[in-house]
Parts: sequence; structure tokens; C-alpha cells
Amino acid sequence: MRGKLLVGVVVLWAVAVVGGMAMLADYKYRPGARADEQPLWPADSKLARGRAVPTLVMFAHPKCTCTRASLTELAELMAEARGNVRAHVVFMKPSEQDGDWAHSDTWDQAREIRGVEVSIDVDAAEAHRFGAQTSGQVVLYGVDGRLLYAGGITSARGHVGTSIGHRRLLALLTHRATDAHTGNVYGCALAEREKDAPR
Amino acid sequence: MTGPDTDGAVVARRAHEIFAGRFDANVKRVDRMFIYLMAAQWLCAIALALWFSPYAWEGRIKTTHVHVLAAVVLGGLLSGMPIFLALVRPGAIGTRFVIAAAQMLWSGLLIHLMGGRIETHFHVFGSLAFLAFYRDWRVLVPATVVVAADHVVRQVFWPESVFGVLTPEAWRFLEHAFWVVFEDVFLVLSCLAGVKEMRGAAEQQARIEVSERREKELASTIQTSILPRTLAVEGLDVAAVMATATEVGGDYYEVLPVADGCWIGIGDVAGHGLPAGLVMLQTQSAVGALVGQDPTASPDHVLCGVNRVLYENIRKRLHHDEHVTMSLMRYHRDGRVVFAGAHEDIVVWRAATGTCETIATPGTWLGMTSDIRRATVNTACQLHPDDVMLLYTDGVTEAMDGKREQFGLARLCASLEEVARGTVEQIRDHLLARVRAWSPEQVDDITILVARYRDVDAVRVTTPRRSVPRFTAQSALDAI
Repeated sequence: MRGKLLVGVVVLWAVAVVGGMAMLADYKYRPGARADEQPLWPADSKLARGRAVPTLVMFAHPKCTCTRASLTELAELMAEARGNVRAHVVFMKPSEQDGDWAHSDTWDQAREIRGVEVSIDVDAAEAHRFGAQTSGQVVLYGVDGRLLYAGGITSARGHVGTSIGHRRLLALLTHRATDAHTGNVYGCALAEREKDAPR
Repeated sequence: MTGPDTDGAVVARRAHEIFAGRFDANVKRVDRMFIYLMAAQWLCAIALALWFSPYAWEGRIKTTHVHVLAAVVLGGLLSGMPIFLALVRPGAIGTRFVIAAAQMLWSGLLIHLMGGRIETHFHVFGSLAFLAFYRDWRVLVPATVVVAADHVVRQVFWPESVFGVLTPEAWRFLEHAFWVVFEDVFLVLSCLAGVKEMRGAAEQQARIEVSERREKELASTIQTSILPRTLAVEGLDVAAVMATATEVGGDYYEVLPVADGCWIGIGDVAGHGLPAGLVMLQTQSAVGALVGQDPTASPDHVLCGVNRVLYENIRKRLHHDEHVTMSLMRYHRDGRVVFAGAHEDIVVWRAATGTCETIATPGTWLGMTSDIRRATVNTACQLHPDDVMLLYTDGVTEAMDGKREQFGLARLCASLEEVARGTVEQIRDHLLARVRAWSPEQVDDITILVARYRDVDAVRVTTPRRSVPRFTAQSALDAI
């Protein structure tokens, strides 16, 4: 009787563990809100666009720990692109917060990436111009100002490693592809969602 | 006597017992190791989550990150059940199967918490090696199944997370599983080799044990067989028993009939086991030789001779430190008893009064020094018709009950008085039963010798009771 009870407890444990792992996986692999893609470089953007090379912009929440993986992938991409891209990492900051609020470990991580310009985006105004809603959102515009890629650069929330987005960006930057692409993005929301807004 | 085939079966059975015991001890030891590992992994996971990803953000709003909840709750589940089973069912195969599955799931959780860093994947291979400590290749099966199942599920639902593409080939998960199986092959071979080595060591140990046991049995058979076969003494009813605590005891008693009475000896070699038994044999031989050479000698003279033999053999030749406490007495038909040598007090139950009196035995130990003449004196006492003389070793008076209280001389005298008017056999059996009831777990040799003085005309012949099989000519031949 005790043996059967123990087996039952172990089975329940197994179900709970598998369920927990599934919930964790669901969280990790559930994409954030996609960008409201802008087919052309927003005219009112304060960011400088490359005239000779494509321009890549990553929008980031300075406190989002998932964005570390996005920056790790960006660093690798920049090395692979060999200077054939102009890159910005734009950190949002609420206007009521002081400047140090955005100076997080991800800020330092972004500044260490060679060839990347790091800036603060007060109240995510620049993100709004590009339609970005999720930290880690990457947009790539060609020299003609047309959108080439909009999406993430990781395969899951805070998960380093090869991803479709990374490979598409690399293909575009090395002229092995020219078609525009979109992809999923994984990370924290750049701004509070309205209660009725669809996720 | 057991033959080689029977010995082989005994060795095989004992080897199996030893192997099973050691295997069980090993898996329980590894179970305990996993208790600590599981607890450590849980604490590490919580620390990692709190350090690297304490909060998730939505604009200005922060909430506790799912990693923290996963580390606390899911990590608690992953470690809790293995720890519980290792505590309540250590050594059970189901316990290590659950531990194996949980350990591989821990790899998955840690990889999640560490953001998929490639270095964290080494946890998988380290865990497999850790599981091999069980020396039970079967635990690698659930571990490998968990890893393969994880990859199959990911390939179906989240292929990009593990393969970096949305439509991997159907066999792709096998590539990852292959490297796990690759390590499994070496670990399984290692487990099998470890088990083979354990079996070999167990068989070797079993052979040694069986050999030692047979040697002890042989020595015990010889020792108990040289005890006096008959206790026929003119004017004296004698009954005796010697119950050894181990196969070979250190107790000694002797009854050697001579003209006009007999020689009686009782002694105890310090310690027991084979060395004490060998000293006892030497003592018996020396007493027999010296008394046989001069039956009219005085006890102190014989005792000094025995001491010289023991000192020469034990101290000078064997370089051992055993010694003997012994009283040697000469009984005369007229009831006179002359004795020498230090041992337990002699108890004499007086028929006239129905009470016991105790007689001290002054002297010193045998085998400690080369000359004990100054410390060895003769003492005399007189037995009257129907008086009972009781000789015993310290295994009687020092037998302890559960509260560590000794049986003691007073209790022995009281027990003797209860049955002193019975036959010497009844007295012997009654005293032995009382001691064993007092101390069911015998830790020392027990020897009891009861002698009742009769008129010279009333001679009885009795046989001693033995607590071990009798030594016969046939058994001696078998032993050799």
C-alpha cells in the first residue's frame, strides 16, 4: 500500500515537473509584441542613417535581463559584418527618471560593442517612430532607407545561440540576400501595455 | 568435514552476500551525495536567478522574473523528490531512477536560467558522469531518455531554440542524443568494469573468511575436545560446563584423577579467540605433564612449573602478552582440598548450614614473569559430606544485564543455595540458566564446575556437559 502511494506521489511529481518545464518553455519561447513596421526610415528620427552602408537599430530596455542575449548576438553580428553596417542601440528611459536609470549592465555591454552608437531614448519616443514595442527589437534599413529586416536576434527570451533572425541579418549584411524579412522578437515590453491592447 | 565443492558453494554464497552488501552501501552513499548535490543545485539556481534576472520589466513596471519563480518552485520540485526518496528509500532502484531523471531535468533548468550559454550544457555530461558513481548502468537509461525526449519535444514545438532553424530534419535530435549515447558507452563500460572488480574483491574476501572460519572451527574442536572426558573421582560428584563466547575460548578447566583423589584446575586466559585458545592448550598440556610426572606434588610447585612453561612460550618465543589467572587444587579423599594460584573466589556451600562461604585465592597471574614462587602459596580447606564446591570463571560473575549490572558473586551464591541439595548436574544447569537469563547476549566465555563431596564409599561417575560438538576420532580425521 505504501509502495503504491509512493509510486502515485512520484507520478504526480513527474506530471508537476513536466508541467513546470512546459510553462517555463512557453514563457521563454513566447514572442513579444511585434513592431509596427515602418517600411521607410522615419523622417522624424533623430538617429543618423548610414549613406554608404545599411543602418541597424536595436531598441532596448536597460533593465531587461533578456536583452543581454540580444546584445551578445549583436556583438557577434557586428564582428561578422566587418563594418558593413552602421548600428545604434537605443535605450529607453522614462522622462521622470534621471540619467543613471538607463546606465545598467546592458548599457555597458552595448558600449563595449565595436562600431555601435549607444543613446538614450526618453520615453521611448524613437522606438515609437520605428514602431518598436519589445526590448531587443532590431530594424535594418538599406542605404535607400527601405526596411530590410524587423524582428529579434535571438531564438528565445534571453537565450543566446544561433537564431533565424541572426542568420537573416547576416545574409542581408553580406549581400547574400536582399529580400525584406520579419521575425519574432523576445524580450521585455518597452512601455506599459494598455489593458485592452492585444498582446 | 566439508569438501571442496561444498566450500565453493559456501564461498560463492558468501561472495554474493558481500557483493550485495557493498553494492547496496555504494548506491546508498551516492544517494546521500545526490542529496547534497540536489540541495546545492537548488540554492545555486535561486542565487543565479536573483543575481542575473531578478525582474521582468514592462516599461516602468517591474515584476518578479519567471526565472526566480522557476528556480524556487520548479527547482524545489526537481530537488525535493530525489532528496525525499534518498532519505526514505535509500538504495532502491526507483530512487536512483528518479534522481537520474531529475538530474538531467536540472540541466535543462540551469540552461534556461543561464540564458542558453553553451558552457552550461556541460552540466549534462557532468551529470552523466556523476550518475555513473552508482556503478549501475541502468540509471543512465532514464537520464538518456530524458535528454532525448527533451530534444524531441523541442524539435516538434520550438525547433529554433535548439537547432536554430524552423524546419530541422526529422533525425536532427538524434545528432544531439548521439553525443549523450557516446558518453554513455564509456560510462556503461566503466560501470560494468567497476561491478566486475567489486565481485572479484567480494570473492577474495569470502575465500579469506571461509578459510579463517574453518581454521577457528578446527581449533575450537581440538580445544573443547581436550576437556576432561569423564569426571569420575572417588568421593566426589563432579559436573562441569564450558560455553565459549567465540569459536575459540580462553577458559580452562581440568579434572585429573590420581590415587587418593584428583587434581582440579580452573583458569581463564586474558582475552578470547584463537590466541587465547592456544594459550589455554599450552596450559592444559603443562598441567597434564607436570601432574602426570609427580601426582604427589604440591599445587604451588606445579603452578610454578606451569608458569615457567607459559612465560617461555608466550613472552619469549611468541612475543605475546597473554596471561592466565588460574587456581590449581589437589583434592584428597578425606575431603581436604589444597589449592594455589589466583583466580575467582571458591564458593563452598555447607550442607550443615545450608549457606555459602567464599574462599579467596591468593596468588598472581601466570605467564607474566619468569618466577612466581614468592607470590604462590598453598591454602587448604576442608569439605564435609554433602558440601558443594563451586568453581567458575569471570564470564559468570561479570555477565551484564541490559542495565550493565553484573551478575555478581552474591547472586551466584544465592542461585547456588536455591538448588544446592539437587544433583551436581542440576546445580550446573541451574546456574548456567540463571547467568544466561541475566545476560542473554554472551560476551565472555563461561565455565562452571560443581563438585559435591561424598563419603568415600559413595562414588559416582558423571560425564561433563559440552556446549560444542564432541571431538571424536572420526571428526579429528575429517578436520585433518
